[in-house]
Amino acid sequence: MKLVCIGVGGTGAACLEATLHLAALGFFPEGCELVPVALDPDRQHPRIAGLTKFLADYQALRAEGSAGDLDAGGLFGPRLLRDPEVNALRPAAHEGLFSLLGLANPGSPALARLFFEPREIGEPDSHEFANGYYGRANAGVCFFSDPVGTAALLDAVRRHLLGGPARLVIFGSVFGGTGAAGLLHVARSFRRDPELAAQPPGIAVVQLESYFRPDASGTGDGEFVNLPETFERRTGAAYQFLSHLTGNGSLPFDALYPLGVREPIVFPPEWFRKDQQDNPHLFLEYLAALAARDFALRGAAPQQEVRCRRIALPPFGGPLADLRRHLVAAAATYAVLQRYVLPLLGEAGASGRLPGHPWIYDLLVRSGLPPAGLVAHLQHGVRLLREVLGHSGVLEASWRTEGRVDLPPARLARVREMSAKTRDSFPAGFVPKMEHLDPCALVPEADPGRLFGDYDRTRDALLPIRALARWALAALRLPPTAEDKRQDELVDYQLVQQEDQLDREGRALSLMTISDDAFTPAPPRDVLPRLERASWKSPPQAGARTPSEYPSVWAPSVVHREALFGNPSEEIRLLHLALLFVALAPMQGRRSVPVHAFRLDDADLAPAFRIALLATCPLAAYGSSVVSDGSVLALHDHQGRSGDPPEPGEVLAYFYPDTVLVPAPGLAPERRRWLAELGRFARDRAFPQLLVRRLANRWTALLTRSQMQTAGMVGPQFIRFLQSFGPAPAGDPMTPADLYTEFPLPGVAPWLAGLYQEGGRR
Amino acid sequence: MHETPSSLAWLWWLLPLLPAAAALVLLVLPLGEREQGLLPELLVPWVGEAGPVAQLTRAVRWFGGIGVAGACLAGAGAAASVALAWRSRLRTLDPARASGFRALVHRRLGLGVAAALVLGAALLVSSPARLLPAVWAGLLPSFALAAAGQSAATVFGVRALRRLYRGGLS
Repeated sequence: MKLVCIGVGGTGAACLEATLHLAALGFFPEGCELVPVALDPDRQHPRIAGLTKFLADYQALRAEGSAGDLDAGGLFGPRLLRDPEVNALRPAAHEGLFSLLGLANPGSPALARLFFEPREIGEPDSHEFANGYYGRANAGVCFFSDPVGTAALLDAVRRHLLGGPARLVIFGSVFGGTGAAGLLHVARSFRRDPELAAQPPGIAVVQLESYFRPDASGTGDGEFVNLPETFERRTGAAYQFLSHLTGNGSLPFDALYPLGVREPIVFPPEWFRKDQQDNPHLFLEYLAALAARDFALRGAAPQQEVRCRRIALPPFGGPLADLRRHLVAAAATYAVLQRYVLPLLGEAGASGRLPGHPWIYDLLVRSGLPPAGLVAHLQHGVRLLREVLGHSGVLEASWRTEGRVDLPPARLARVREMSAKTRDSFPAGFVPKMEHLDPCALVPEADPGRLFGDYDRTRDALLPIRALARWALAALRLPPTAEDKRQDELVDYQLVQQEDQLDREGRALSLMTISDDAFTPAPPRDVLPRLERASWKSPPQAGARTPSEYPSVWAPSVVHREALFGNPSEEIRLLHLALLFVALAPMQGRRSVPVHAFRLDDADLAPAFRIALLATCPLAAYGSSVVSDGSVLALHDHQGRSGDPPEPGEVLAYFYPDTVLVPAPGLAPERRRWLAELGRFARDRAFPQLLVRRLANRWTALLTRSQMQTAGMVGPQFIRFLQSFGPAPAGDPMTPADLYTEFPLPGVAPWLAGLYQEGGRR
Repeated sequence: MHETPSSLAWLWWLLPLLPAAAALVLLVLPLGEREQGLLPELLVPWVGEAGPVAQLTRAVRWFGGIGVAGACLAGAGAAASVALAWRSRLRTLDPARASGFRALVHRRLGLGVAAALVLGAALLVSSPARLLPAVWAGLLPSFALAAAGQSAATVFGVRALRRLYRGGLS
């Protein structure tokens, strides 16, 4: 089976690297070939550079050992695809939104202003997204929509998904920018690929919640690429978006593996700066690899699942014990090689005969390798094992600086701290520390006279190190771990949220019961809304959610809905009322609704913009019937000739069924003030009450007819918003005669047409 | 070092038996009904069935045979102790401790010889007066030789030890 693993962003690449390391140890099922793909705008990211170097070293080891085609279990047995055309890809060739969205084309700037603030859009030839989409999920998803990048990804991966059993695992974080933007979109791209329709692969998304943060000493210097205080809040936004997709039936995967920690690992603040992102591996990334293995082993499930796990506590069982066993066996193999085998080979000399150690001569005879070749092979294996064990915290920090002289003290201090952080992230006693490791204690029953004893050239090619690893694994006796009292205690989930943390409504999480160390499945509708409702920490000064927290161009719709139907400020209430007034009541001598249809099939519209609009809409049926066929409908106050496209500064909002209208994020302050005044005017003229009379009895039905799966929720919410203005004020109220009587464009959704009709008329 | 042809490799097993066979010759074979043994009767058939020479001969056979057999056991034990000690050293997975196999063999061979000489001395003390010092001057080196021979024959005759000594076999 081929297991295609795509790491999106820096955290995704870290998970991918951990997965490759464990696969090299033989942790994945026999016959499972890994196809690693790191997807990040910054291909020089240390984690991507690390994994491509590891792949190159791995391939070189196997090539030197005539094992290029070897596909077996055990150490260095699995095939890990190394192909520069596949291993490191960029989501898009562009590095700025301006060029990506084709904003030099007529009409596009106005359309862009419906979804992005002017400062987000950048300028021609700007490169603000060259290294990642730090904390800007809504912009990042546009880059993932670039058809050139998507085609490159699909072309690279598709051939591995076709022609045999295959599965796809996508790793990434949801609290940053790149992963948060790309996780779902990448899954969606594969799910919707017509060439995979006949043989759709199983897709799993492994999403990491906020699991590291800076210490409190220096978060205010303004140099962070992604404000760390918002990490947990962004994780909450991800669940909110996923919950939204669950309601709409739009989840693009078969299994979701959420992974997090109650208390994030604390990093020095300077590690979060743009040019300093060389974070050490943490335990959670190894659990991400465990998730990939779980998905590879799991049989086809008829329903979508969320698979959660509990935290790792001793005694470790199930797949966790397997993970530990492989890491400890690798440590034992490394120690025996480094401290015993290689020194003895050095003594053996050119003849290969060393009295007392006949295995050397036997191995040379059976493998046909010259003594120098055997030493070179084992040294190569040691280098690969050092990479694996160094990153997993088994080795001391010095492994990072071996062979390097004159390193500045700051760098030495950093590498020491990196290794310390890795070690701190693992459960106590999970893996040994090499400086205290006694291989004799790990393999007490092993016969040192039978090192490499079961080496078999047909099974191992010229990789005798595999036989040594089997020798160690077979005799391995894991160090005992302290027995805990988990039977009597509530064990945490491997998540940020826990049962003892009440949600926003004061209720317990009541997520699921997990009785062992395996992943436990549950339906998404049972898990994701609960995680959405949870109390996600947010900086005290932070206000409502921003569009940058959601991986969709349509993020302003989600943000506005939450603001309007939550606990809205008077400013937002009046703004929204004003927009409804502009859309429904003739003003300034207008004869029809000031709406402009931005056609998505317009030749001037950049393909990435078109695809981002079509693909990232949270509503399953937006493009066909929810609003209007193939258009984005913009409300504007363009004063020129009717039919001319509005200028960017003239767009006010776009039509969207949840809230009818969504204000453009780029509204200028003076225009906001004007709309606030207009809102007060509408309120004083009993405009909300007029709409309640018109819509109260049929709004939900109109939404339902428009294929809105969440009609039962958002329909009443909209009516409640209108009713929140209370009884009609005294004065001169508006009447139905004061409103437009029809929507000027044909082919719109029932809710939009019905908005302009008197109650009772259909 | 030349390798033994595989068809003749079984002959190595005979090697540890040779010293024991020598002991058998001295100790067992002469004990026929009419004392028709091999040595020394074969060499000196005129000694007859009685008399001081016959008694001396019988005593030499007994003490020599027991001494050689004991020396062989000491030699074989020395070789066996090499295997045990080496196994113990290997288990430390410490190249400094797991080196010098041949030196270990040589030291244990010396121990085997020393043990054989101690055994010979014990026999000497317990032997009757008619076994003259000249006899013991001949017997004691034989014990030492038997111990050394048995030890070496075991090291080279037992395949596992021979493999260790030579650092591998084809």
